This record gives sequence, C-alpha cells and structure tokens, in this order.
Amino acid sequence: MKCQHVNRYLYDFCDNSLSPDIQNQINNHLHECESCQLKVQLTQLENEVLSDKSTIPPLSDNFTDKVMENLNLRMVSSTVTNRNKVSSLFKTGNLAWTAALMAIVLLMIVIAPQVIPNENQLQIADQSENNIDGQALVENRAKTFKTMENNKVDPEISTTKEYHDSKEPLIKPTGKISNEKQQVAMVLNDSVPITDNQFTNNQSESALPSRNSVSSAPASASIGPANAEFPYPINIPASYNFTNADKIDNRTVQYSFSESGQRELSVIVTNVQSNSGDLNNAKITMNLNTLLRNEFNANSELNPDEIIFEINGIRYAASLSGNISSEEANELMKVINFALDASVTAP
Amino acid sequence: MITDEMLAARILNGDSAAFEELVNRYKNSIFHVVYRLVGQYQEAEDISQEVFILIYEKMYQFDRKKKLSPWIHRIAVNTAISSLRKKKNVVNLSFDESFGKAYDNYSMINEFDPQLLFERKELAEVINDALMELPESYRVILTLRFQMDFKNQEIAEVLGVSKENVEVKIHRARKALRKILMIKLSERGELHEMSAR
Repeated sequence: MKCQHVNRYLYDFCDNSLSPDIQNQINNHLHECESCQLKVQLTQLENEVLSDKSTIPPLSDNFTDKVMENLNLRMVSSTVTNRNKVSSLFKTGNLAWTAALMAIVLLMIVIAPQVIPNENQLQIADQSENNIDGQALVENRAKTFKTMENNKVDPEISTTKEYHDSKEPLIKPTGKISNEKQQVAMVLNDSVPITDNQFTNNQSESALPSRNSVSSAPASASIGPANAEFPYPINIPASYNFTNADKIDNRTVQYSFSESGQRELSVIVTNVQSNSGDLNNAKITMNLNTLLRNEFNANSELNPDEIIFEINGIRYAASLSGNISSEEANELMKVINFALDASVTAP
Repeated sequence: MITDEMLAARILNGDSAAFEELVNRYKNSIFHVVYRLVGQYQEAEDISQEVFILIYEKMYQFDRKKKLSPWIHRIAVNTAISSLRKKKNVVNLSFDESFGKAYDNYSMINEFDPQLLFERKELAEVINDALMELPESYRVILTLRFQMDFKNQEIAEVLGVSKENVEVKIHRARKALRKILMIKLSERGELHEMSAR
C-alpha cells in the first residue's frame, strides 16, 4: 500500500469503518511510514476534539422555566397586541380608518356564517377573547391545533404528506407562455427592496405545489400549480426527475431531483433579507468558474453556486447542490429558470 | 417511558406538562447543536428558547408517522442558521463540489508532528477555531455527526438529504476542516514542511 491509498482511507481508517483486510494493510504501511503515522495521529486528535463535549458550557438550570414563561408571555402579548391595534384605530379619530373598520365588521357579519366552519372554533375564539391567562391560552392554542388538524387548514400537512406518499413524478405538463404570467431569468438586481414578511404573510395559502396539479409529463416541464408563493425551478433538463418539494422553513424550499435514480440534485430557494446589501459586496455571480478562479478564498463564507434573482420585487437566493461537478452545476444553472407561476416555461 | 411521538400527541391535546417534558428531554441536545453553530453562550441560549417556542407553534405540522427527534433538530438547525444569516448577511446553505475543489487548491505537501509541536489543549483550540471558520453547512454536518453522535441516516433525516449524500458531505467537510487547520498551523509557524510522498 502507498501513501496515497492511506490518504484516501484516512478518515475511514480512524473511524474503524474499513474492512479488516484494508485496515491491516494500512496498519502494515504505518509501521514503515512516519509521515502517514502523523496524518493518522492528527486525524485521531481531530476526531477527539470534534467529539469533545466538555467544551460546551452547561445550560442554565432554569432554562425550561424560561421557555414556559416566554411561551405564555408571547401568547398573552399576541392577544393584547391584537386588542390594542383595534382600540388604537378608534383613538386616532381618523374617520377613514373608522369607516374602513366598520365596513370590515359589516362584511364579516354578512359572510361570517359561511366562513366560520363550526361551533368549536367559535368557542375557542370566544375563550381567547375573554381570557388572557397564560395556562388557559396554552390550552386554547392546543385546541386550535386540533381544530386546524381536523379541518386540514395547513397546507404543509396535506401537501408534503401527499408528496411523500406519492411515487408519481411531481410534474405538471408544460403550458404556453402568456403575457400576463410572470417569468424571470436569473439576474442580479438590487434596486427593489423586499420585506421579510412577504413569504410568511402567505403561509396559509398554497405554499407548495399540490398533488392535484401533478401528472406524469416530461421532466423539462414546469412544476406545481399557478399562484404558488414560492418560485419554482422551471425548464429542468429531461435527464432529471423531480422527486420532492420540501418546505424547510417559512423562507426556504428545497426542490429535489434525481438523475436516472442515481445522482441527487437539490435546488434550495430562499427569500433573502431586504437589507442584504452585503450580498452585492460579496460579488455573487452566476458564473461558478469565474468565482472559483478569481474571487474565492478559504475564509469566504460565500457559497459560490448561489445566485440571486428577483420576482415581483421579492429577492430570492437559489443554490444548487448535489454530487455534480462545478462545470455541470454551472451548465444547469444556466438552464434552470425560476417562476412564481409554474405554468410558465423558459424560452 | 412515554415516547416522543406520544408526547407530541399530548401536546396537541393541550397538555402543557407534556411540552415541559419535551423541553427537558431535548434542551441539552438542542443547545449543543445551536451553541456549536453560533459559538456564543447567551445567543445560543436565546436561540434555543426560540427553537422550543417554534416547536410548540409548529407542532400541528409534525407528521406523526415520522420520528420527532429529526424534526426537532431540523428546526434547531434552521433557526440557528437563520439567526447567523441575519447577523452576518451571508447566504450559505448548500454543499457543493466546487467548494471542496476550492479547498483542494491548497497544497497537501505540508505535514506536522502534533505530539512534538502541540499540547492537546492548544491543538484543540486551533481545531475549534478552524471549525468556526467553516461554512455553516459544513459546521452543521460535523456537529450532528461528532457532537450529537447522530448516525448518517439520522443526519439525512434532519437535513432532508439522502444517507449517501451525508457520507459525501461529511467527507468534504472534514477535508475542508483539514485544509483550514493546515493554513492556520502554517500561519502560526507550527507547520513543518516535510518531503512530499
């Protein structure tokens, strides 16, 4: 065995995860090679340090109490804040606001019987209006969970579960480009500010593609339904099959693909902060190779495959990851576009 | 003993004691992950508290056919990363070959003798510094693997990637760590150049 073989198996050797045969061969080599002995020693020390939990300070004793207290406070404050917002409207004396409020109240009276689904929810709303005791709020919240669960009001529950259960390719047939539909190429544009809430405000709407819109179609087709709040990767090369859409958090969605069931590819799309001026300073560029050659250094925290694009004034960062070469990634990023309206296809 | 999934069901039924039990069960684990990612005690504790409140608020989204632990740790990782992004205004959550290749440009001809040159404590400090300089995506995976002792399958569930992908990413993260470590040791003049083999 040569040193280069030891290099290849170094971490696995130190983890004792190699076959006994290879493990023995490396051991024999180590008897003869001082340099490799040192590499193994360093790796073992690295393992020890990485696994050393003694450097982590203990958590404060009252951590659990603080969490419970914060939870109750947050629920109380959200109730009080909502009340204050309503009362301040009246205090301003602004006729326009008052008139608008009255109109909303009238509208609610008219449509309330159709909108409010059952007696149980009315009861919960009534309780939370009259009771701001923390414990009771926690219990009310739990009842609300249950009601939401029973009524399946949360899109993530229904959509992601269906995705996981589905073995069909989650792809919608290609639609024609319409003038009204929004389509973007991946461009760097810092002129339009965005707000942090633009994603979260629409959580209750269709945040992820629903299975209803899915049928088996060529992989180059667009994905998901129209009017979704997350941008979809479109114009995916035919060699990749869309496998999953996973909402990581309110700002991030990961779209997964596989290439003939072999390699996996992920496109992570995140909406980024409006005040992220540093992104420009970080010289984000679409060209991976240029970035690697000229602008990357070991201390940079910039991910070289990240690109920034903008749809309807909302800025998103998309990153591509997978077991692919940078050249392939670069080519893919030139091809894949993003759109809020999934029925749009790339030119 | 009540399973995690039973606790989740009780929390959804309004049992606040069940939530308290969940906090007690996972607080150290969550704090470890967050602390390793943000590197500051008070900030890590604040984020950990935020994580548990998020867990409570999102509990109705938990798919009870799955295990609770990866779901909880996923929230912790995402919350910590979001916090880091807000603080640093950087966007960085993916693993890619190009990043590893960039590290590969550093020469591998240097070696050093840790026993002769370093006490273990000193070396541990350098390794920890190097760890904090890693991109957050690499830090996440090394923390889950070495600090939390998660198996590759568990890490895959937390990060939402395949088990095979986790193996590749751990390897890249370790290579990246080694390169930063070598650069740091070189800067400190602790690196002895030996003949390349």
